[in-house]
Amino acid sequence: MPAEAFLWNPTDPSNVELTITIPQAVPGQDDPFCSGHAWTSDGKALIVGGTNLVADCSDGPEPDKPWGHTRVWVFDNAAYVAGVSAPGFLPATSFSRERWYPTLTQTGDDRRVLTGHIGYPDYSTPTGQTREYGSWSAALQDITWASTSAHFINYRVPSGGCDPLGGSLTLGDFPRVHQLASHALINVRNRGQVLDFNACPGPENERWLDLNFAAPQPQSESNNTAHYVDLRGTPVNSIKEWIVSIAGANIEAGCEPKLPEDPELLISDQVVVMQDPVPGKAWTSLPSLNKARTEANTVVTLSGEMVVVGGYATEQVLDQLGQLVTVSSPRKRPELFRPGFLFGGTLASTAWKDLCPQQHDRAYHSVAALMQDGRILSAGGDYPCDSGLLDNGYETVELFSPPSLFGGSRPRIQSLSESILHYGNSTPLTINVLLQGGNTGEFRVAMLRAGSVTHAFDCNQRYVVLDTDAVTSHFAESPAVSTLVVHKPSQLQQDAAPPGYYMLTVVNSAGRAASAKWIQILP
Amino acid sequence: MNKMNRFQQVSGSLVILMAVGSARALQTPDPEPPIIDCFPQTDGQWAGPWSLEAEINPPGDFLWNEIAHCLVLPPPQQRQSRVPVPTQGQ
Repeated sequence: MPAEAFLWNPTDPSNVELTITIPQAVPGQDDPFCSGHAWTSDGKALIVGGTNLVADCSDGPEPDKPWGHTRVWVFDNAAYVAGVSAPGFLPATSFSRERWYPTLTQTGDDRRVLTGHIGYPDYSTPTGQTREYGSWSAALQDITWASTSAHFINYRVPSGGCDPLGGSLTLGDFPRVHQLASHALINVRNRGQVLDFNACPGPENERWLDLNFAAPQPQSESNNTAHYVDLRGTPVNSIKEWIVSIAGANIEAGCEPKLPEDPELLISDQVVVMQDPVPGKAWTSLPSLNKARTEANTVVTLSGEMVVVGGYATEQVLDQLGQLVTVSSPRKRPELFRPGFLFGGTLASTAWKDLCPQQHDRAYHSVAALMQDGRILSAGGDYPCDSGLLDNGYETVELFSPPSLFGGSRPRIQSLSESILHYGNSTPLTINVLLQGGNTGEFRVAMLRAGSVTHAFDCNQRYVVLDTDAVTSHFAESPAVSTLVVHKPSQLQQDAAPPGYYMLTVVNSAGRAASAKWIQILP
Repeated sequence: MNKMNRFQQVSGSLVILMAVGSARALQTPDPEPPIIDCFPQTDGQWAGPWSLEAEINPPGDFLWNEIAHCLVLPPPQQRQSRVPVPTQGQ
């Protein structure tokens, strides 16, 4: 059975618009399932790795020791004309080592960093070579691969005997690797690491430094992240940035997590934030979720709120025979948080708010993403292999309209003067906004990257607030129009807003956001 | 439908990648009835669910797939390509 992709259009949600076969060398052995992916700056999706053997739960959690594959695809919908031509998944240059559960992060200098693997150090290749996928040495292989391809230019290769992992560090599977505005990378997983570009001697060396998460950061796996960058009113060298880590559990994701009855399993409700992350910086607690959950998605809305969708916890209940049994406790109620650093007040000035529950479980393997109009897509979901939890997967899609889409008029973006922004360009971006009741003429302009979600996380998701000036409102007109000028595009830093496609929105003083317009950022 | 209209419609929709998979048929819980004590202004509002099952689980086929990957499509128009995409064999 070949791997397939489905184009689903929210304007006709009851039907799949298009089915696309994904080319494989040997179906089942180079599957995009459990791949990593990211949008490139020119609007193509790069999809790397995946599983080489589709797991069958009846075989147990380690069916035939899958170790992934080296396959790479590029997805491009530029040529899509319904009924005439289909968007394609083009095979691209393979990389050198198999990857299963890798993360692909778009960087500020328009490269893609490939990190992580589920890690089966006790597994051997057909040639008997020991694999150490959790280690940085495996990542080096891919960096080497990347640097040999014009398309996959990557970070520099450490050399000179400096151990970039610093000994025992591992990046883990699906590491939560984000590009920081400081140019460093951060992995918000395991004990937490920052890739420091000056840690090892010599200009060609970088090293992951252990952040050694102390309390409050007990969760180390399956956590979620949210990423904010604020360019307002700042000189170029003082960009404000926040990385948030949400919930998770002390389990290894993938197909062999700790089983629910494991007494060591801890599913977390904790949320922590780090401002302007650098090695040695401490995490600060935010209010805890109302419900602990793992494998949940966190979606940042157009308004800038965090909405945690899905996930699950486990609990023990008495069965009909009076025996304790472990059952799943799906988290069907999303929770919403308005971060103080964006909405005013202290970090902990608000609590998480329970929202209206969805119908289906959205547990492991679920996805959630922000759409252009401000709604949140939530789809899929099952439970880990052999967990004993009820499931055969929910092959359904739901759409959530967060509260900020109700209760008042949303501004509307009439036009953007530019469809492409270039770093350092002095051309101002002018936004004409249709004012629709209750607007005071005060706005926040923000951009959110196009979603690329797998296994309930998206390391490329970020909310970038642009500096705005020269707001001119014409309330006398009917309808009233406000003209916003983002007149400091030179503040756009590559590492603060990596190149690519963003959904640009305008948020009014009541916190209501306009349906977004697409804008591309390029060097 | 001309090309531009097609693009406008597609823009903002999604590609959902389904992986081929097989699994033991486990018990499927019944969906909970919808809870109606929700107020959109304070609690948000859900729409759906819409099933994709027929597409990814053909009748008579015990295999099932999972929606584990999701890409929100940016618009293809006005695209500036900066980097060539190497295809296999190049």
